[in-house]
Amino acid sequence: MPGRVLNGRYELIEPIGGGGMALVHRALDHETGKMVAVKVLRSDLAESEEFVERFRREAHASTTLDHPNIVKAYDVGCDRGDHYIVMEYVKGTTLKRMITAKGQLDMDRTMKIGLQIAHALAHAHDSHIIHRDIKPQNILVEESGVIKVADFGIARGVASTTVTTMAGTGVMGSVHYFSPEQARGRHMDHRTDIYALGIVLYEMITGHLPFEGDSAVEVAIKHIQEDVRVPERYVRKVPPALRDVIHKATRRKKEERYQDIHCMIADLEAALENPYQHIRGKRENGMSGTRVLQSITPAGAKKWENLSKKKPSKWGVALAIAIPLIIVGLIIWLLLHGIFTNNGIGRRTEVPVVTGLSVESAEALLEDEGFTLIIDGEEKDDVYGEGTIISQDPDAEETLRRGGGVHVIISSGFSEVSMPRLINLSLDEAARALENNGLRVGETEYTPSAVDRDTVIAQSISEGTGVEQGTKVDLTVSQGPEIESKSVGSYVGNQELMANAMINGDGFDVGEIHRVYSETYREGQVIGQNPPANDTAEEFSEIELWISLGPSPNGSKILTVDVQHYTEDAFVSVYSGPILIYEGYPQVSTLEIPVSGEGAVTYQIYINGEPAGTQTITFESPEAGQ
Amino acid sequence: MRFEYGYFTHRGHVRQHNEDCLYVPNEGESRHAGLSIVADGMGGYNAGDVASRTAVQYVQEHFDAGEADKLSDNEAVSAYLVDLIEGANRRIFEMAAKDSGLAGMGTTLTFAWIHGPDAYIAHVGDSRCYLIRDTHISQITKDHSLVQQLVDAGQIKESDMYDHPQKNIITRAVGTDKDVAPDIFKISVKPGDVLLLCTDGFINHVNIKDYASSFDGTRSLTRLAGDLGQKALDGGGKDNITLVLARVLPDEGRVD
Repeated sequence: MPGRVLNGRYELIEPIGGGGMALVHRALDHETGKMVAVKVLRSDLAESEEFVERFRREAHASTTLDHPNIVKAYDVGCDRGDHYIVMEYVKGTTLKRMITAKGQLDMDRTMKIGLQIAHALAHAHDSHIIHRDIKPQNILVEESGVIKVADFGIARGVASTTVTTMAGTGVMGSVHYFSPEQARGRHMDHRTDIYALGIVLYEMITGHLPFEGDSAVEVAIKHIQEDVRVPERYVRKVPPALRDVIHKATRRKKEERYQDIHCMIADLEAALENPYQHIRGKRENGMSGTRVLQSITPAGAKKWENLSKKKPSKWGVALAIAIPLIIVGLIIWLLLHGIFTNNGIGRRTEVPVVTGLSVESAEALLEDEGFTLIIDGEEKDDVYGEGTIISQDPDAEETLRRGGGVHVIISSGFSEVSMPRLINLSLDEAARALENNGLRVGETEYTPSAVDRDTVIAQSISEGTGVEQGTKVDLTVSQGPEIESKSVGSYVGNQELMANAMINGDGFDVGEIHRVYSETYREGQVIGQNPPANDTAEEFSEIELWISLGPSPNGSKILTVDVQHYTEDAFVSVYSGPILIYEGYPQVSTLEIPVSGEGAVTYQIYINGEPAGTQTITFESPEAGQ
Repeated sequence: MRFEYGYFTHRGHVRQHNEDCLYVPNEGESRHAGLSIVADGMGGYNAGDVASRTAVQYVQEHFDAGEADKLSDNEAVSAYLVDLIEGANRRIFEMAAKDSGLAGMGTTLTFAWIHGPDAYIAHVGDSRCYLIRDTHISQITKDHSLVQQLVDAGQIKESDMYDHPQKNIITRAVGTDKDVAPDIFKISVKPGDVLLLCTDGFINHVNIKDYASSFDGTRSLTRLAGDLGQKALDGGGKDNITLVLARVLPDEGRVD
């Protein structure tokens, strides 16, 4: 397909990705000269009304939405039976690849990315659209770090009550982010997206998925049956506030989750502000810490009801084999449960997580489970503040005889650390140095300075001072030298890479790039620039470039320039707008230059640097010529 | 084979134009894997850029055609590289003969082609190629310049080369004469080795041996090229400054 031009406008350049139902191409929009991403529905699926409808729905959803954290859709169309959506081209990677590459993300980045996804969802939910397939594979990370949510492929209006089917491929990737209701094929709503975002947060901070399995069915069953366990399984110290957000977003019951994405945003913002404090008193359903934690107890009879009420669906067919096994297992489990409870002896139960809780919450929770809390002592800690449990013995998920004691150590406050030197570090490096020491960035103020942009030039607490963990440090950061005006160089005639290097060397950035046909300059050569050479422009401003695509496939005409009245040394240059068509000392009396274009194109002719008139040539449009 | 590249070019603080030219492959452009080029043009208004670009483009075009990959033995490669430089020389010489505005133009041309365990360096003029291995830096090319001849003849000390009033006189160039005599060097390279190609605008302000420890592998070549280029600017930037860094990466098989 590369090389094909859809509806005479979008030239497909190379495939850059794709899901089960469509292939995404990088493409050139000939009308604007911009790079775009064009998603084309697989031709074999275009036969199926269901897929065409789904594709149309995505197109509708994405053209409705306009948000900086959502991939923009520009255009929708169909060319010779191929349905396509034209979208913003995002240069960067996916969140999935980022997590895979880094293993796990730090807490700051996790929360900031989570917030951007949440803002995108808030915009969608406010427009009555739910995404239904939030997963890191669908989250694009621009080179600048901005997050863009893509693929509203199975998005649907909130009002729609249709039950999801599992048709289509790509399910294995998605199933890890499926909420219980989604796995069961039940009605989904905006809280389904909230659950998936909770799983994405979990994956960012731990580098793991909460549920793994050999098959999609196995993973789906776990989502239905099991609570998402504490992230501490994988990462020793997850800030309590973030843990609370993940916990609340991934409740199996929709009613226990955030009821509104805006509430989740508020909690994420609070977590970013105070990661080491539990989020309290903000829960919408009046759930205290203790009540929330009760749902960590092992599987109970409620699940039984849920499973038996399951409506048949395509998923149901897949589950049909698994369910009898589960039912048998549950019956055995319930029987054992009953027998041991009646006898009241020898029964061992899993110890709940109490690390990160206050003594009161932990006591209440342990009492419910038939354990007692034994405080072994107090210690300073770098993650948990005063009164919070730092460690427990036995560990969570180990079993203990009913009536047994759970030993804990309580934090007597944050431990002290010596303030590191932050001056001359980049802002990122400083934040990392602080985080490594359990400290945090407070206010940052930018000011002009001779040192590089984003370099720390002052810290509010000086190096070597002893401070409590969790202390915030204000930073003064350089915004770079005062902006100066610089002289624009001549980049025309160079290869693209050399031009880029020259532009950077001159203190500018490469701006928009237009690729156009040229009969006189070979592919890859710069044939136009804006601002022109010798202009002055602000440092770091952008230089727009026109780059040759080589000769036009639609043929060329000849532009004739009469130079007989000039001396042999006439220096001729011909432009069409900013685009250089010819430059040289022709040393002939009549200069013939091959040119190509569309419609009427006007050429400006200069001889020895002076304007020497214009000429207009009219080209037939390629369609008419065929 | 895989490579990492870094590059920098700047017109400097004094010159109005950048008459240098460089080339490294774009990411994923396998046809030219292992090729890097610098050229430092000279001539009247605009002609210097034309000469350096034409030379770089000529070499690049021939690598486009994949001719070099078909050669098996070292002698064939060396002969091919000599042909390439002679071809570039002819093209520039003919352009200058036809066009009075371009008369007298010429360029230095130094390029490296890393192919398997070998690196071939073709060289005319006073741009340079260095090999950096484990923070040891050795100069591969020898300048075709008057001051280099004076050093060879024992007339001046090597350390005086950089301050000599005639340091910018070169004894060989591409495009100024009907014929050209390039030097071809062949060296062995291994993963981790870095080749530095640079024009005299860089050499005159930076003694690369002072920065040997920068090549310990911790810094990306993009950043290193920028930092070294900035050193040359800070050192005066009297001429156009261009440098290219190319590192041989270990073969794939390990996922980063």
